[in-house]
Amino acid sequence: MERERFLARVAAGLGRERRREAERPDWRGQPHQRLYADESAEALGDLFEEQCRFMKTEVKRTSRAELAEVLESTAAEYGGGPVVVSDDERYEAYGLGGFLQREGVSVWDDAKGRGMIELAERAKVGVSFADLALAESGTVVVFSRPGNGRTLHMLPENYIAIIPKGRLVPRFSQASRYIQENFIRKNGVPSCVKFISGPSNSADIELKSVVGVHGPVRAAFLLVEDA
Amino acid sequence: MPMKIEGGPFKARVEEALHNDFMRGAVRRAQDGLRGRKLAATNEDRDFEDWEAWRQAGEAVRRHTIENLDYYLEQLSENVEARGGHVFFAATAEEATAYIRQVVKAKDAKRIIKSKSMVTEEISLNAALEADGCEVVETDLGEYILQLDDHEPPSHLVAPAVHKNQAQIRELYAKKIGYTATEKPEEITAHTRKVLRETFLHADIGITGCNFAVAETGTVTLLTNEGNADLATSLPKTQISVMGMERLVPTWEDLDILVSLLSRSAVGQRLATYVTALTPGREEGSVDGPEDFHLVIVDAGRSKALGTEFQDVLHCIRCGACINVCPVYRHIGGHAYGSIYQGPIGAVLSPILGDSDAFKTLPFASSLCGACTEACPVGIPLHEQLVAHRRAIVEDHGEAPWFEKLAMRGFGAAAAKPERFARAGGTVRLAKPLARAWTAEREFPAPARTTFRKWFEERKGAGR
Ligand code: SF4
Repeated sequence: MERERFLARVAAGLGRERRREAERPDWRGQPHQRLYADESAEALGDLFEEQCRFMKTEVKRTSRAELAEVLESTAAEYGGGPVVVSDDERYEAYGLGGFLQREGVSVWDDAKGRGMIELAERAKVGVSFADLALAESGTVVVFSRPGNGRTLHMLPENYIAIIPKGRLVPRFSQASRYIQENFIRKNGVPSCVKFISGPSNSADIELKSVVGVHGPVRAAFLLVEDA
Repeated sequence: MPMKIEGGPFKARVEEALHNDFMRGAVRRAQDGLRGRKLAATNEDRDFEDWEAWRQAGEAVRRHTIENLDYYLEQLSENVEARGGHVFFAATAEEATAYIRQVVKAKDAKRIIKSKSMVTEEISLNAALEADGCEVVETDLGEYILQLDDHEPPSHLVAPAVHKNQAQIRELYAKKIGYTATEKPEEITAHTRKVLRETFLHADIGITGCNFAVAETGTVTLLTNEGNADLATSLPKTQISVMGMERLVPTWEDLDILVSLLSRSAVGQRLATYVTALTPGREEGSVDGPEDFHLVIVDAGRSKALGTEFQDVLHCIRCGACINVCPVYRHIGGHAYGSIYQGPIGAVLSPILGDSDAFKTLPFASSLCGACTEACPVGIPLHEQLVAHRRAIVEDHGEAPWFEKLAMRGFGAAAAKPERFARAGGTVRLAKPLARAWTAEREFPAPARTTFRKWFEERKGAGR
């Protein structure tokens, strides 16, 4: 049905003229704005860790100096390789340039086309940086862009996210504010914003929780405390 | 599968359910499990503060959205189109399926993968696409199991295959897809992963539902724990998302409130494992994500609720919490409702969306105990709407359907000898305020406590 006829029918159902504007209620003082809003960075780190455990995500707290070693050993636990990593300048800045050079590690390259997706599908490990992380729910947030493919976080058997602690915010509320300020008021939202809180899981069989149904079977979040 | 599912009249389905002890045990465990998870993440989560304040915030968002529905739908559609997506407004199920079939045909697509979507069940989309020669594969584990079992209907909004045990699922997999491993959920799941991965990789089109669209950015948000919606919208070249016309919020801030309520109420998590917000127009140069994005906005009976005492049912966020506390659902399970929507929400929604004759007994499948209303994270007065349906049905039909007749005759006896109804089994408590409101109008006394099974057994003779 043509849009205007559809909407006119809705307006008629509501018993009034078509509305061309609406005034949103003011949500100041609502509970979502308060929850965890005043926690210290330390407390947020603890909350994040606790929630990751609840969601069956391995969480490792580390430092810039030790990150390379932690990443190496986590990747090794997860089967070694092939590894696919996002294309991101931060690897160098975090002393992970050596990791990218390792045998079996490929940096996401959209120019490879379909081949890139096939590589991710065969990979034991996918690695990316978190653009934001949410303490309340043990969540990593990633914004789509070339070099940070949507499937990079979902197709490999295991997923590792690197989280600079400065990116850790209390909850979804701060993420939506970030999106408002950095995207909506500027060039628009990324085509895909993912909130990832651990391995793929399902309770569809007798309500028993199992991991690895479609996406990552295991997930590790590396929280870099001094970044 | 259409709204209505097969299986004879309500009375027959209830009797069948009451004799299926396995199913009833499974339903009890599922209810207890899901209800416990929800409580831990809401009323009992001390950090979460005041659950009532959250519910009120959720209700306020929903009410504001529905009261301004035409405005926000217009904004949503403009923003989707501004990003290069296509929007189709479908007044009826037929219009929606016709549009989707035409997109599928234009793409010459044969392989279609789906992530869980109730609205596509309402409009019988799978059957229509299969008739056109497409292979349509459900990827939510529960939905996949049901699809393998010759399209068995879902029995719970959130856990569709909850009535089946692992031995039955093993047997089904063995028969249909040559499965040879054990009945352990881990092994069944690992096998499903392998089979469906192949399907994902070669699909032409991904079809999803929509938990919440965001009007201000033209975004479709999907919540899953499995990640199937992520794969269904990353690998195929075309994405088609189908949404009931009420499933949107104005802004990302409103999304925050509702995603929090839905995750906590449906699965007892602070956030669903994967919350994915998709807006058309994948970034230049990206290899994954759809090139073509279609949003189908479906009325299919919803506007009948607008401006009526049933308008609030459009606030529903499909969390299933009302189902998990319903004493009637506990006893008869999901299939007895004869609708793809079960429990209290099913009993309120099905007569509005579907042919009301087929569903006219459903509003009587309730003890009016009010537990559903209390559980609902967006404050829908479900039990009041059930009463309103009963009134409307009685007025329209000139006489009460059998279920009410037997209730009216039966309650006198029950009230006179309450001890007869206090035997083993779950008890059905009739909440005082409601029982009062209803009895004041219908003039029959309500017993304080009874067990559903007993009540049903004893009353069915009287109803004939
Ligand atoms: S009616 Fe309320 S409790 Fe029931 S499914 Fe809808 S939102 Fe959840």
